[in-house]
Parts: sequence; C-alpha cells; structure tokens
Amino acid sequence: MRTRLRRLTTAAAASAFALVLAACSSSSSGTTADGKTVLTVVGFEGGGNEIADIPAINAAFEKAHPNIKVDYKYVANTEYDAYNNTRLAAGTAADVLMVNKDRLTTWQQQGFLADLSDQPWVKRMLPNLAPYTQVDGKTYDFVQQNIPIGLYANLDLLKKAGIKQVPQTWPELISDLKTLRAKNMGGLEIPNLKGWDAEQVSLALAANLIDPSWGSGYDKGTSTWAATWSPVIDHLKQLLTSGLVDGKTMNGLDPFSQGVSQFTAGKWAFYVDGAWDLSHYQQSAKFGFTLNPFPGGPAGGKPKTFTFIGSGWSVNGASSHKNAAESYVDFMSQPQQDSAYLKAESCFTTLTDVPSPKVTQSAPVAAAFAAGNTSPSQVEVPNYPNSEDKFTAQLNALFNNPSMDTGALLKQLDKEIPKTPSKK
Amino acid sequence: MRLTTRSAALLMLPATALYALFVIYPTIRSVLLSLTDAHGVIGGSFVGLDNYREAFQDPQVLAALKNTLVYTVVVVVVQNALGLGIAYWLYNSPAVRSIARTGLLMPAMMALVAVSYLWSFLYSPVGGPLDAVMNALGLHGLETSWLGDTHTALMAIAVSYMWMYLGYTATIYLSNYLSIPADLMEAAALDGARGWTRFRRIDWPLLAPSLTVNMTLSTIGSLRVFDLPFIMTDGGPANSTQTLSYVVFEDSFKDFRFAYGTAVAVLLLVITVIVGVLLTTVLRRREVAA
Repeated sequence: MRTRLRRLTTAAAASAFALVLAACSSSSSGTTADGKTVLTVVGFEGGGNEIADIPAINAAFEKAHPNIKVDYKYVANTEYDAYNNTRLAAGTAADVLMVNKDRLTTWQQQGFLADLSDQPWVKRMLPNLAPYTQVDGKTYDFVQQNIPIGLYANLDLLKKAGIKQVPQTWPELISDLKTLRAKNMGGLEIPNLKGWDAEQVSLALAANLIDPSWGSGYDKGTSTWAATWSPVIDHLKQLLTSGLVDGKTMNGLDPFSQGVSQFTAGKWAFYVDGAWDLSHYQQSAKFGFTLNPFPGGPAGGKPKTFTFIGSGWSVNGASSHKNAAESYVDFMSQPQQDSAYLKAESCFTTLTDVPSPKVTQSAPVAAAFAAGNTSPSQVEVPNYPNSEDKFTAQLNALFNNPSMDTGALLKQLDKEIPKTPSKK
Repeated sequence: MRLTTRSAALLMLPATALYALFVIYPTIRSVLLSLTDAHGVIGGSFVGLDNYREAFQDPQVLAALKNTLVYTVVVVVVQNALGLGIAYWLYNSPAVRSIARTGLLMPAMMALVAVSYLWSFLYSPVGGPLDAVMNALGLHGLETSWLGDTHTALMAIAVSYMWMYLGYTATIYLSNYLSIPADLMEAAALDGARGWTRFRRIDWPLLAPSLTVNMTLSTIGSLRVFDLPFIMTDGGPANSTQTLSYVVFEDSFKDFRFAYGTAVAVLLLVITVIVGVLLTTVLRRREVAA
C-alpha cells in the first residue's frame, strides 16, 4: 500500500513538474516535421474586420520561400500590448511584430527590436516618413501604410439640403451645418465614445491651423500644446456650444460600430473617418459620397488633410530566425505585395517606387495630398507612447463640458505628455 | 489506508508547487517590481516606496479609488437587496422556481465582452432601445447619453454588472432558503409569523451564511471591476468611469510604467484583502450569533 502511495505521489509530482516545464517552455519548436523554418508573425491586422490582404500575402511568401512556413497570429489591437509584452519579456515573442509608432518607441527603448537600418527597403521610404520609423537615427520598422483621414460627405443628403458642393473652408462648413440643422437633417457626426473621433476632427483642424513643424519641436521643448493649440480647441468649442454638435450624445456613440453604421445608413451629411472604411462604404452605402480634405481653414483658403502613420513591421531582436524575419519584412515592401496591402486598406504609399491606389471616391483627398496640402498626424510625433490616449481623454472631457477652459485643457496635455521619453 | 503526515504532505506537494509557482511567486515578483522604476516588464532600479508615495498623491488614482468605492457600495447594496427580494419571491412561488432559476443564471454565463457590447447598444443615445422606451412612455426628460455623461456613466456600468450577476446572487440566497427546515417555517407560521415579521425574525438570521458568501463575492468582484469600463467607456468621459483596475492597466500597458502600475495593483490587492477579511470576520460572527 505504501509503495502504491509512493508511486502515486511520485506520479503526481512528475505531472506537476511536466506542467511547469510546459508552461515555461516556448510554444514554438522553430521547425516543422519536414524541416521547414517556422516563422512566427503577430499582427493587429489580418483578422477581425481588417484582413489587409495578409493571408494572401503570407501564402505568396511561402510560395516564394518554400523552406519557410509562416505561423501568423492575429491579435486584436485592444489585447495586443498585453499579448506581446509578456512574451517579449519571457523571450518567446514572435519573430516579426506588427508595430505602430508608440509600440516601436517603447519596445525599442527596452531593447526588444532589431536594427533594420541596413535593409534594402530603407532607401525606398518616403523621406518625410523616415522619422516615424526611426529612434536615434536608426530604422526599426517598415511603415506600410500612410492613412488618409478626412471628411466623408454624403452627396445625396447635401443635394437634398440644397448644398451644391462639399465645403472648402471653416465658414462654409459652419454655414452648411446651420442649413442642415434648419432642415432637421444630420450634420457633422463625431461619434466620440472613448474620444476617438474628436481626436480625428482635431487633427484635421490642426492640419489647417497648426504649423506642421509643431510636432517635431515637441520633444525638443520648443513647442507646447498650451502655446499653440487653442485655435483647434476653440473651433471644436464653436461646434459644441452653438448646438451644431451635441457633445454628450456624441460621447455615447461608438465610432467603430454605431458611427460607421449611422453614416452608412445615410443619416449624416459629414463624418470624419479613415480611408480603411472606404471599401465598406463602397459596398454598403446607398448614396454618393466622397472623402475630402477637411475644411478647417479661413475663408479663401484651401482645405488640408492629414495622414495617420499606420502599422509597420519590426523584427524581434531575440529572434532565432532573423534572416527569415528580415526576408518577410522585405517581401512586404515589394511592389506587388505592398500594392495589394495598400489597395485593401485604401491608404497612401510609404515608398518612392510604389504608387498609391486610385479610388474614385477619395480623389479629393488624394488631390490635396498630391498638392502638398497635407501633414502627418501631429499627435504621433511626441515620443511619449501614450500621447494619443492622453489627447483623446481630454477631448472626451471637452465634449462632456464644452465650457471648460481651453488654457487649462492644453496645460493638462503638456503635463500628461512628457516632452522626452524615459529611457530607463 | 491511513494517511500519515508525510504522505499527506507529499499529496499536497503538486498543488502547493503550482500555487507557489503561479500565485506566490508572481505576487512576490510584483511587490519587488513595484519597488523599482521599471518602465518595461523587466529591468529598473530600486526606488523604495517612491511609487506608493506617488500613488497616494496621484489625482487619477485618488479619483479611481473614489469611483471604485462608490461603484462597490452601490453594487453590493443594490445587488444583494434585489437578489434577496428575488430569492424570497421564488421561495414562495414553487411553480416558477425551476424555470426562473435557470433563466437567472444565464446572464452570468455570458462573456463580459458580449455583455459590454449588448449594454452599449441598449444605452446608445441614437436609436438605442432604452431611450426609445422612455420616448414611447413620454419620459423625454429622462432620455440621456447614458455612457456619454459624467453623471450617469459609472452607474450605467454598475447596472450592466448587476444585470449580469443578480441571478447568481439570487440563486445563492435561494439555495440557503431551500436549506431551511420546512418544519421550522411551519412552526413559525403556526405561531403567526408571516410577511415582514417572518422575514425579520426567521429568514434574515437563517440566511446569514448566504449573506456572507454574497457580500464577500460581490464586494471582491466590484473592487476589481475592469472589463466593463474598459470596453464600454475606456474610463471616460472625463475619467468618470476609471476604476483602480483600469488605472493599473493604463499605467502598465498604455503608459508603460509597469512598476508604478504594479504598485497601484498591490494597493488594490491590499484593499481587497482587508475588506474581504473584515467582511468575512464580521459576517461569520453574525452567523454564529444567529
């Protein structure tokens, strides 16, 4: 009996030990049974509502590299940091990581990313986007999308209201919104649950009202929110206090579900949104629409647009398949793959030798971009990783209470977004 | 087979090892991390209690603490009062008890994410069913942007949480009700104890064990609420739905101040343990007295 008990306890202890070992070991062996290298890739696109043509690109990569099998893992953006941070710390993160600006900065500072400065695609990057791929002059990611965000206009609704063209200046926009309100039609939709769409409207206004060099001076301490951004906040306040936009109602609407469905249903004349929703509107909207530069400037001026520097690809510095990982990133930058990706996302190119896809409805915003009436997103320039979230929180508060003091709001932003990133 | 101390210890070893690995060790590592200035999940220099000093002066943490406490008090009181009421009704309505009990537990089986999206839809200020019902009833004055207004957002989330776990609470009370000997209830009825008198003199003291369980579970659950504010409002508007757990997440995974976020997490753990132990102690004494 004692022997049986001893065996039982030994087996239990062995099982526990095996479980512990399993928990501590890497999830990937690195090779398949037939000897192929398993390249692990993780991204916040390529699944959910944003496929970005990644499955087809991965299949093409495997065809071009028969010795490599791509193990692609889609992780939703909301869970992406939690998913990757622990794996990076444990040394079990994917070989290739999809990044954006804040993740690039953070992970590079912690030493997790490989220096890709010697990669062939570096020289093909558009010069004005290079700073978004670099830390201290070294390149750490291939930014694949430069996303236009602008004013979607429901042309049928405008026509019904007697408005002949999409507004080009701020006074025209205000006038059109008053006309729409008088006719009991939806004007400018800013679905702002969590502050996201007010951020987009603010950045669109900033493209028209703020010096494009503002962002580049932020971490140097030569520019601040308090000294510069009051015109943007005052324009927002004008919308909120005049009754043209109901801030509290907008704060209760989710931009990514309710906002998109409301605009698709034809209930609003204007909606500030990204090009990634363009194909959805093409398929679902039963009205004519265009994507335009935002009419945020004074009378007589030309509307300007802004672009959001979107997702890119980095290589895990601890990857044991570094060459394969670099090949994967390089493959993504090749014209055929890059074009497929850009087309799926309806966004502008980031490379000198790959054209942007042409989409009829986004011709106005593309024309503004081609004419130089554009700037990259200002809020992505400060190196503080969470600057965007700090900004959206303040705008969420403004929509709840439009009488809040502009100076106090902007001073709070200067306080919450440190001017230099910590490198500890 | 007689179990000796040695064999008992050996049998406990696997579970103890796993508990130590997955609970004790991470807790110790967390406390150590909270004493550093680490911005990532590794590294950092020792800074003593600096993070804790900062947390006690951080307006965001203090506001989140207030939100968490208000949320907890409302949820614990309302959820237990309603749960007890439902259990009382079901105890006295045997015909519907089985079906109702199954229905009551269904919301608790749903994923928190699904519940969050469901209630976000219900609360929508444009085309949302809740405002539509109020509109139909002529209660235009009560229509509002439930999640978009600082005055209503936290309580709107509390209602979602209570909807989810109310049936769970009621079921525990009902189980306790059903364990009360029938002859005791019959004797009370013969003595003329009915309605409120019976509830106060008989039901309430005998329901002490389920009160302990429900109060403890709902308090601990409410103190660490995270998912609903995270999905429904992202802590807004104007930080009105930020809870301590949300601040831990934001400091750690959005601001990448892992050491500071962990310090707030340790504070939340300490608060939860203190409240949990106090509640259990007080309510257990009441059980003994009853």
